[in-house]
Amino acid sequence: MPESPDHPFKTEETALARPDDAGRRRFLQTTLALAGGSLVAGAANAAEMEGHGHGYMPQPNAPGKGSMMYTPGHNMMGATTEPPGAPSDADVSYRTFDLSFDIVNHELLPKVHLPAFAFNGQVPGPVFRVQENDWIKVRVTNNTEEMHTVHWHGLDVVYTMDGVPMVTQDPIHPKETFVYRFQARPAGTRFYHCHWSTPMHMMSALHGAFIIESSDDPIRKRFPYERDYVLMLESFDLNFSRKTMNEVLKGMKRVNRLMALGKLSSRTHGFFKTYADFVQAIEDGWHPPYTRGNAEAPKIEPDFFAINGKSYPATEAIKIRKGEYIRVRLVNGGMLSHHMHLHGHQFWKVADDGNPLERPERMNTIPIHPGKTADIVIHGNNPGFWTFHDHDVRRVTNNGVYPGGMLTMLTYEDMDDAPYVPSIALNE
Amino acid sequence: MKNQRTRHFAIALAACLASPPAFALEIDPKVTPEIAIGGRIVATFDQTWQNGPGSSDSTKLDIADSSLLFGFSKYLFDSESYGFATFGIKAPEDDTDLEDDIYLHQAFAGIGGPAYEVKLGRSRLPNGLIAFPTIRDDDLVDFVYVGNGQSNAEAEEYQIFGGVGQASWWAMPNLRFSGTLLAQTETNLAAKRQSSSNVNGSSVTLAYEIPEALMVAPGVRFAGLTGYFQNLDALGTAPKDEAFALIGALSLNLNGNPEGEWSLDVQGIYQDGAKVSALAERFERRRAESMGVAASLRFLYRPYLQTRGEAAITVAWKDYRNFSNATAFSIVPTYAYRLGSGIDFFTQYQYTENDSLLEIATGIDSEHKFVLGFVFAFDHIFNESVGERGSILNLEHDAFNFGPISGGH
Repeated sequence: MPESPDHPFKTEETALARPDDAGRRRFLQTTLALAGGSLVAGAANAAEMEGHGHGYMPQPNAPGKGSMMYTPGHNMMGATTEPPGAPSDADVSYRTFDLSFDIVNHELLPKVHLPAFAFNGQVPGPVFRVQENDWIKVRVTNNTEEMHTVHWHGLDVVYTMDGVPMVTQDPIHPKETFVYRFQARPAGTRFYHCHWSTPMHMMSALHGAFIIESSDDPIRKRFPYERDYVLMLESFDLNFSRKTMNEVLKGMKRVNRLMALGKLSSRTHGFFKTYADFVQAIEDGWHPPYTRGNAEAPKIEPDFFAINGKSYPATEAIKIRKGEYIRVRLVNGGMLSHHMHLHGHQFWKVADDGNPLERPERMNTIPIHPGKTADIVIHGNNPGFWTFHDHDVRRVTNNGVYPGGMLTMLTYEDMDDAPYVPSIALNE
Repeated sequence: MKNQRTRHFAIALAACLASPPAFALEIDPKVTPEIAIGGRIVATFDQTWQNGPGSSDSTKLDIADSSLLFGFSKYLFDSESYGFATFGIKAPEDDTDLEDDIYLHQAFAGIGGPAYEVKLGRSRLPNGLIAFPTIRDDDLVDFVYVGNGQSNAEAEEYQIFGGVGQASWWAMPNLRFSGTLLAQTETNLAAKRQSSSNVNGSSVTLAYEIPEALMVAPGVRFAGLTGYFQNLDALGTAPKDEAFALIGALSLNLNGNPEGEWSLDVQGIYQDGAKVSALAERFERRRAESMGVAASLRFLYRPYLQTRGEAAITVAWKDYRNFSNATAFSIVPTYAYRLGSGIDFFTQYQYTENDSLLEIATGIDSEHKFVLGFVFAFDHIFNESVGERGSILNLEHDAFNFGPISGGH
């Protein structure tokens, strides 16, 4: 299927975050207008939504309504779920994408592999690059034995598409395909991540950038850039990832087998419709999983740090030319704060959480806290080779060995005969 | 001149002692190993009544089978294969002929990877396949393990543990081949230990075992077959000889209800036997041709998938085929109630009866034993950094475990 001209991987300048071609083809299946197959539930809800915008809420209902998790003997494996709340295919033209949850042994740098759940088999997940107000349909298939959801972080979607398990949807079961539909807004640097078992999935790099372009972008008007880069800032505790993934997969084998046998109940799942049900279960002898007799607090101590799934020296350099403006979109889908420092330049912070700033701020070190995004614009006014790194030097290490981790380079492509050219030192 | 040489030597020695170790060229100078500790305290009141010419009743406060384990492991130069070492000590029964308060039952080192493991040292002998749901490992030692024909000692430690050089290979995740060279403990006729390092046997095992996570489904959990060969030295009036035993075992989940589970474990041992003229001595009974079968039916109560209790009944039978009136059997109902994570209350009754020839040999016609107490088990891993390895407690007997005793650090 040919790609549309405005596919999300449209420029070479996004090379830092580009998936490979196979991944691209798998990821992007543009469907401007799907004929037929309209969804009755979706259409009904879309009609109800008119005049209500995204403030639409269902009538008060009993807790647990819409969930399959309380149905005895339920089995959602292999199902296709089309949640209500968005317009049907007949009502709007969707751009359609395929996304999957896979298990990979991702190479952070030579001889270091991260056992990971990964979107489309890549770390980080593929970059979405769409136009503001595009209608987006993402068919998400779970190829793992673990449950997942997708949360569209910073997007104003219909609540049934928000991807919060047991709040807006049931988790996506193994072999299940869940179809998210929403309108891409507001414009800016957004991202997506799994919202099930979040600490584990943070350590798995289950995240990716979601860039919503606007034809009326004030940042581009002020800083006429042509190239932009996405930098996903990541931290991984390989021991935690390996241990937890093994435990999760063992546990899910058990859960999936029990589910197939029809032997699961809401109490064995640990799902309750109401707080009163939960308290009643405890009175009946059910033991909650968080008591000191049932659990020990896991320690998550990241030992590898990465940009776009690679640790220095495997990170890719950011390219710039003399006099050029480039836009760098920094996304922190991890659990640590990072203070990114660029040598030799004063850049502008132009957007916070994806939203353009009326007054861009000059700086050379920018803090990016968990869940935040920040856009900066760099002006190529000082030719050379410049490091760009987290200034907390603990994060510029590989398993404690400096240099490594969250470190990359701003490289001028049009340097003349440079008097000194960078090489690699692995243990200073 | 002599003083000068002495002074030079002293200076050089001082310089050597004062210098740090030469780590500059080492790739892996000081990587802290993953450290696992684990152990069990088995503390019970035991009341025993015996009938027979050599009978004696007893009341004991028993800590036998309590153990403490330390495991260490580190990756080799990659992140695939690892090296490991384990030390373990346990408390023997205090009235046996093992005259130590502590027995070193685990002391081995080896290397391993995702599909193989090689270990060398002292560990569990591959002379039994199933962990039956009794409180202690040795409650049915004469029925569920191939006897060590080199030992005339009562100590069950010489029956269950010994020197092993063992290589295991998982051809598929569910299929394991193991080959072992054995160094069973040798004693003299007076039950004094003579050696625990002489290589005197070998074994091969083929085992089908499904992952623990899938054991909730009804059907076969474990099936195994072991060939166990002993090269026997002359002992007492018995000549130098050989003995070969075949062990077969099956573990079944009967109903597939994870909250109230019925299961059945069965194991049979046939030993072709070495030449013995009587069954009077322990080593003779261990060398003699015999057929033994043990089976246990258990109910595991796990409301909301959390283990709360287990009720089991185990029966065991053994016949010395070349002798008349030489059959023994034992029946053991066991009840365990889980008080919390890692601590269980146990109670067990055991009735054992010997035929007349065995009554003459052992002095016991029948025995009633009532046991009541606590088992506290714990394990913890520090600096967890090496692959996925089983709990170190898998090296120990556990009445709640299904199938084989295997794995661990």
